[in-house]
Amino acid sequence: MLRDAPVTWRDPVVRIPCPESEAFAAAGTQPSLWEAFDQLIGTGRWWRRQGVGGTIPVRFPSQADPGDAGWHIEASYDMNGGWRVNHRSRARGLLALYLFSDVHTDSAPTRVRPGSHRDAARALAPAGDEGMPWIQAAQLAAQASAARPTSLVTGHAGDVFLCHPFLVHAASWPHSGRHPRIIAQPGVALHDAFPLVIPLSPVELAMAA
Amino acid sequence: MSVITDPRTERRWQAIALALIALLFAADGFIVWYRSTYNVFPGQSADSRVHWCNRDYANYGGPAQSLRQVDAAPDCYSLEVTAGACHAGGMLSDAEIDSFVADGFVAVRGAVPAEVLRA
Repeated sequence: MLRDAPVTWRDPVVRIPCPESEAFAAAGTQPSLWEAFDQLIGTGRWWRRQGVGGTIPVRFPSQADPGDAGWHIEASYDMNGGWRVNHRSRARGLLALYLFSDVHTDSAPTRVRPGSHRDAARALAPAGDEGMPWIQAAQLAAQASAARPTSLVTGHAGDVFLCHPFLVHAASWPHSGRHPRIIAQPGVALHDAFPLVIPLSPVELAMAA
Repeated sequence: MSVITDPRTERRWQAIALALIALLFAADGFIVWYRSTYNVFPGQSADSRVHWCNRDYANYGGPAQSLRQVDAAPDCYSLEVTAGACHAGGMLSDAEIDSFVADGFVAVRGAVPAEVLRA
């Protein structure tokens, strides 16, 4: 598939690993973003990755269901080959959405449920540090936040949305725009888990509220 | 002039001295334990308000809890921001951080410069 050749756009979505080139390294290490990470997560708690990381789902203009547009939260950590999430958000400090193309309401923007991170935190709390399998956590969080309103992640190329690790979100379709929509969606990795002790960072405060 | 001490009286004073020393050690131990457990000294009133990062946080009252108790029940936190101020020198404004806490996300517009995008 070629970005500028519509004839090659056969699938509604193609996922590519985020390149580790110099340009992406520059994008992922912007001082403004790192400063924001410090403010939201806490200085010294997160991994200063020399790049963006994660995957980039490229969504092409299409009326077809991409098959990956269900509501969910992100997985946090791998244990014995299975992805899990726990109430301290072990290993995941944030979800970052890097807009590498302009994203409009008609170009399959990511949907988010404002306030849903609190629902997810409450759903995860009973499982304690052991946490639960990611798919179970995602389903519980989606159910718990079903009544929340929906917002669309739209903006210009270069905008970055910093999301709470428990924010319930989903892809959307159809893509009625004219150009591929490109958003990288890496996690900001934690060295450990959030301690949830005073002083609470804004991420922890949102969990505890 | 010499003082003739009754051996029984001497033993009694020794016992009292030992008891006082033991009591002193026990009191010291209690103070150390209380300070490390509750983060205040015995008799010191613990303010429900915590100042951090230019903000005041307060709980809704209730019985005092040890750090271990709080740590064991993180879902029972009942903290609220009671007074906000700027996060000194931060990229995100106070309002943006409040928005992140409430909504779960915040947009950093133009975070990746155009020249980086072009590259």
